[in-house]
Amino acid sequence: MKFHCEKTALFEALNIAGRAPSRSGMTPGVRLLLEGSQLQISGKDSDLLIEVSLRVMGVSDGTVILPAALTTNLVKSLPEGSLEFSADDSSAEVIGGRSKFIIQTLMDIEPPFVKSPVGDMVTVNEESFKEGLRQVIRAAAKDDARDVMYTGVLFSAIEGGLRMVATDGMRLAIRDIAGMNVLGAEGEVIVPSRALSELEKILSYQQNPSEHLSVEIGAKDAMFKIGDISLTTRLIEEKYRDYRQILQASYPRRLVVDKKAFLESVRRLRIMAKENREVTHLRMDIDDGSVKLSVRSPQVGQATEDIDGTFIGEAFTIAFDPDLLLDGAEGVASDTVSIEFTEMNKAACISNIDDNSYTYLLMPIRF
Amino acid sequence: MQRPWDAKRAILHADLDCFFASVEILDNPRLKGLPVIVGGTGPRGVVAAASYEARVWGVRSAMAMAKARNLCPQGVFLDGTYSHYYDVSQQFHTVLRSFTDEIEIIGLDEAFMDVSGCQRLFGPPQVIASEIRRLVKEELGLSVCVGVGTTKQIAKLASRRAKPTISGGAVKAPKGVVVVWPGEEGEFLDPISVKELWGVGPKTYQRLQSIGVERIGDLRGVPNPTLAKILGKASSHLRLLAGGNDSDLVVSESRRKSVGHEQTYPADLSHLSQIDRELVRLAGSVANRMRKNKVLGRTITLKIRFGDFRTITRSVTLTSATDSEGEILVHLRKLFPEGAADGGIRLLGVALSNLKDGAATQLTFDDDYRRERDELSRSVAKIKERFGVDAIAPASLICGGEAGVKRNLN
Repeated sequence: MKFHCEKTALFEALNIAGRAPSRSGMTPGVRLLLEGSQLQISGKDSDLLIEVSLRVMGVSDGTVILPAALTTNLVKSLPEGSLEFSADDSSAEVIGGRSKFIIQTLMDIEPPFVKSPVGDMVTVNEESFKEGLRQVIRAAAKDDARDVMYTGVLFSAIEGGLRMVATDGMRLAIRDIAGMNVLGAEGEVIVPSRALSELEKILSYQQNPSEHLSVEIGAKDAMFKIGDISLTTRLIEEKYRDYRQILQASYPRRLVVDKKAFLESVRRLRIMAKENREVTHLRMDIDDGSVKLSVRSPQVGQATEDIDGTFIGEAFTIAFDPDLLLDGAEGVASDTVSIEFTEMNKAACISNIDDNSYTYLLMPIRF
Repeated sequence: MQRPWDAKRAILHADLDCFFASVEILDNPRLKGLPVIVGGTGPRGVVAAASYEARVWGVRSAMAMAKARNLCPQGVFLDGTYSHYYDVSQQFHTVLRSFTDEIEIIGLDEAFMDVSGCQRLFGPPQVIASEIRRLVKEELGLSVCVGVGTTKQIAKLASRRAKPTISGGAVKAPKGVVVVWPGEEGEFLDPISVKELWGVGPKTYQRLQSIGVERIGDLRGVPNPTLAKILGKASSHLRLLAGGNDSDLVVSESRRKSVGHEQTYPADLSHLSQIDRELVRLAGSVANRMRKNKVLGRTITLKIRFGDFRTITRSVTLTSATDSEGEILVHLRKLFPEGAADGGIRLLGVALSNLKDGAATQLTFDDDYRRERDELSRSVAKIKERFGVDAIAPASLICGGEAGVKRNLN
């Protein structure tokens, strides 16, 4: 195969497709497939496939698999301008400016990623979809969760829209997006959060926000398309346990604080909390007159902040992991944050001040 | 004026005098002045503690009970109640902890303390030592001896010299506190037998004797290569100990890498039921210590030494840290290899490592459910207690429309 193209375009495509293979195990590869002037670059692991299409000046068709990170870094390092790419079965040659790289190809030993037929393609508002992902993904567990449900985000059809839910057992985030109907009337699927966080990054990279995001959800996999990029992920075939039983209709205590001031305070206190290797809790002493936040790091020091807030309910004390608290408050869309409490060992509920589209339940630290 | 402590480190070693026997005498004052011997009174029993009056007759800890009876037929022989000793020991540790958290518990009756950091609060170490002795006497009614020095080894040797002594068939009152001042370590150590140093067992002692080393002072004169030749790798640490220069730290439980408990059995265990009972006990005692020290552990290790001294360890790392004996036990049972009991088991040990501060625990939604379930079962128990066992039952037990639950109208 052989083609000419712009260095920057090829780098960006490689960079995106190269995100799909998981970083553990064998050398992750990217596949380049040229048909006429259409270059398709794809990366995959067993559950995730990212494909990027790129128009190039094609000379001869063909396909090759190259080590993802090395190829991406080499292309990135080339001077701006056009480059020439050619490859045979054993190696690929990249020439840009006065540089020339020869890269050994990888063998095609992994099973192909077979996409099962998926459902209807629905176009969604990219901005609110991205915002929703940003709000909930952080509540999902990282790869090594003890419960597979924790590694995914629940997409659930609700009246008039889509609900996204994620939890790692310590916190649970819910975002309702009105008017977004990507599932049937009562559909419910679990999408791996790794795929979604790659998607969120891709969406954030996009220079051109007017590009439409389309979503196609089938029985076994889901596909997301934006511009020339498509991301296909296997769904987690598990039943999402009923999270509604931990939601409460009302809480006996409610604190309203300014979002910016609250975030700044918590971030300052977190510096002290993180100085200790173990998680150090952030303590909130709240009564109707004042809200005092404090952190004591054994053998390190302590920090306190007084913040303004409106509190309704009986004075009390509660403590949280500052990171988890930040995650929740950062997701709030309004300028003020509502935090509701039951008691010191029960979940608190963080939400927007003016609507119910975002809910973040957080279990406290018992101290 | 108080003599200031002119050294960076100040270590105390506090050791209760013949602990079990003293507790027995405290509980039963009529035993005062009598030779009291506590230990297993069964056929394979050994002496766990002997009062000084019994020691006058030659009775020593770890001696076979039968031999003790021969030496001291007029002695008062008691089985002892371990749980009671444990409670008293807790009070002892509490007294020590009122001075510092830098405390390494060696046993029920013995602990090291690093008081380097608390002199401004409580005065120089010799003052702290006397204060500990006074408080333990006052609050527990027990006698404790305290050694003070710049290293653990010196503090330990010093406390031994603070103990009551036996001379001419009579017990001599203890010094109570022995202080080895900074700069005077050599004077103190030189005349002491090398046998008393850590790491000098009968074999090492023999080897040292072979090159004419009897006292710690002699050891200091031996050139390095000569010592290394006969002792190998251990020689350098021994030299540090002998010079009072070792930097062995007081390892407080909160800074420890693991919390564990081991038990050597007088007779090899071979019955599974017997082994399981021991696992239950070990899980309980480890969990207890973890809770007391407010730590949680993620890695559970089971150590097994067989009758033939072959030793294996098995471990498992959990997804979340625990201090629950139930959870620890479940894993211990899984870790115990099938057929391992066949050859007889000499020692079992359980340790939790991968520790984290358990004082604060991140709660999960599951905790919330679990607590509600616990609350439910407590309520059910209360109802049953009040209205009888038939008063309440799970709906799943009420079958075919016929309520299995009887109504109790009275």
